Amino acid sequence: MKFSPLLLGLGLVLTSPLPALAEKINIAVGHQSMCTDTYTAGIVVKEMKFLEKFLPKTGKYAKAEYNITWSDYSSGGPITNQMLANKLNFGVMGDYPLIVNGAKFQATDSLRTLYVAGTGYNLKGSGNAVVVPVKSDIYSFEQLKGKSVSTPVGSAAWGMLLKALQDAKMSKEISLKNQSPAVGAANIAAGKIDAHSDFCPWSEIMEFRGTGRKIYDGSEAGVPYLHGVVVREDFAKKYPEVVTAFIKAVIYAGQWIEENPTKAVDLMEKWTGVEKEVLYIYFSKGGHLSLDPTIKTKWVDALKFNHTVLVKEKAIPPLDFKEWITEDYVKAAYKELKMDYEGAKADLVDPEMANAKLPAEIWHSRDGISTYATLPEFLKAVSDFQSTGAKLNSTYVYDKSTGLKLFGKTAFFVKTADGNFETFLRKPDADAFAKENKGEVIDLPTAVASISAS
Amino acid sequence: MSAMIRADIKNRLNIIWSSSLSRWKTWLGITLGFTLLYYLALMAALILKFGNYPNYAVAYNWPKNVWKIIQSTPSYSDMLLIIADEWLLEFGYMNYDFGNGISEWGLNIIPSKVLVVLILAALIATNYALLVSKRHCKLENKVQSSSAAGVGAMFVALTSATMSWVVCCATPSWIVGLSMMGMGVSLSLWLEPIGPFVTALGFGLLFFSLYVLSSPAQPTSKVEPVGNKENKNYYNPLPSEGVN
Repeated sequence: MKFSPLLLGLGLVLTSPLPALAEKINIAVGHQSMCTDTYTAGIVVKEMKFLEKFLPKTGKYAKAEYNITWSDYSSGGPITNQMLANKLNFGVMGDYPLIVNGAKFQATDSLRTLYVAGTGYNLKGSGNAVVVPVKSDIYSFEQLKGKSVSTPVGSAAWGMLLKALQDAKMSKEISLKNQSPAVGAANIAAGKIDAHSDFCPWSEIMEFRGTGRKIYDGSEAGVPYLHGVVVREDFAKKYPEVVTAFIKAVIYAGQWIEENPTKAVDLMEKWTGVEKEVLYIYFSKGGHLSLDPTIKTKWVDALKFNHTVLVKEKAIPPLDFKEWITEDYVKAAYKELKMDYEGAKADLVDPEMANAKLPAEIWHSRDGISTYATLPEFLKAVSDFQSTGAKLNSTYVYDKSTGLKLFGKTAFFVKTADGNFETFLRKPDADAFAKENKGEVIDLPTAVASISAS
Repeated sequence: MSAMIRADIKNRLNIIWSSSLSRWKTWLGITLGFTLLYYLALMAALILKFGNYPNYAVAYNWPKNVWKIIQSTPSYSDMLLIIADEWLLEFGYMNYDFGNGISEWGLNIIPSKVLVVLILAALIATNYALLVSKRHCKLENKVQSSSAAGVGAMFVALTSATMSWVVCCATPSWIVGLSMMGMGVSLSLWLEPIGPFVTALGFGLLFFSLYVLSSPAQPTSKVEPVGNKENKNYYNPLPSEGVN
């Protein structure tokens, strides 16, 4: 009998309503500062402390103490390994590594991840590209027959290259080398390899630095290029509100970038070391990246296609997409932010249509970015700036064929007989247009000189 | 198992044990030396291939990480596989030409793999101890077993490499190592699934070599039996390193 008060107390404790969590909640995120398409769930959320802004602080989380850690990785593979070891709860990565993540977890007996949100996409696959040394005489993909092409095997760029080779029936006609992005870029600069295929933003880095030239853009393969967020299922089950908060931070990061593209890329350059002019080609209006966390049916189809490539080439385990992909958290995030999820999900940005009337841009190092409705106005402005010795960080035009945003200095300009200009990513497209319109294919300096002379 | 086979195995194990024990310093030297040399060779290969010296090193809290895996993995089989991939040390070259730096190549010290290399090294050392002690062994047997041990060691060494680089799905593995050394994509992808079989074959050859070299020899007139006096097939390994 003497223990009865103790038992009564214990009974009361056990039967009383759950108190607020007075626990420390560790949130560990693996991201990639050298992969632009992950920034809205990675470096931006980290540096702007957007996750802290949305983490739940009421109800059962009233007494929760959050310990947020961010780990930067060079690729998605190690993030998956760290998630398996439970050192990371969240992982942000590109489509191919995402699939490996899901499949690797589903191959275990007891662990799973969930694909809970996207970060951004390019509908037709821009972001991946094949680059040749800038002085190479190769201008089209078909010219790669009999040449050596390197790529990081297992990446989205590798998947794109395989698809491009299949489409061109050239699979057995090139020598494929496995190469990391940094070495691939260095080999392109030194002219040690015929071509290198890589993911975002490596192609643009090579173009911006003047070492490489794109001959094939991922959009030609026609398979969407997307990135997303995976979370360990045990974490998501234990703290579903934290997962929703993370996605709210992703949405908010996207909005912040869209509202402040120049400031955003300026800060991103400080955080990541990637040149802001390169980042601008991704994050500005008309850029390669549509910041959109919704999970579209088209994305699921693209991921399924990518999985078939990986199964065929790398014999990775099967992946049950129904079990892996869930819209629950992203829908909850949209709802809590009072945003229309279905509307956002239905919205698809096709650069060819969306960028058709966008103005060319000049980034003046002191005065910032100015826009020009027509190419002659743009060329005139470049000419004027050059005549005063002004420093231009970069210039941007759009590919007439795909709507893709390009660096002015790498674009092929076509001056038509009536004095108009068009810009192209690929020389064969420019040649065809010039032939059709009795024009000539020229580069930016020649185009500027022709405007100055007129 | 028949009594004869049991006796044969016991006899061979005695021979292996005695041969190794009689040269324990050499045995230990080969075991540790080979392991060290193995990782130095991997590092040298990376330096030669990429043309730059390592410029970063990271030490991981292996025990703490393993403990975390044990706590958070419900299945024992998953637990063991995940622990097997856990890193202890990483050496590599960080390329600062891009972004805030990107690791161009890395050599990872993974305890589970180090254990495999240590076992490999111990088998090589044991083979060596047997080889030098069995002076009466036929030359062709010596050549056969040495060749088998050599090929076996090569297979195991090949599949125990833990080099990595930034190729999206790549984590340290033997096939990544071969890719880094320049192996073609098709061949490396084809070889990837057969890694465990190559390892098993390698160990099989090493054990085969041990089996051949530990065969109880036919006594010759000039050799005096010592050691286990009851075992007439057991011969003194030469020269002793002073076990006593």
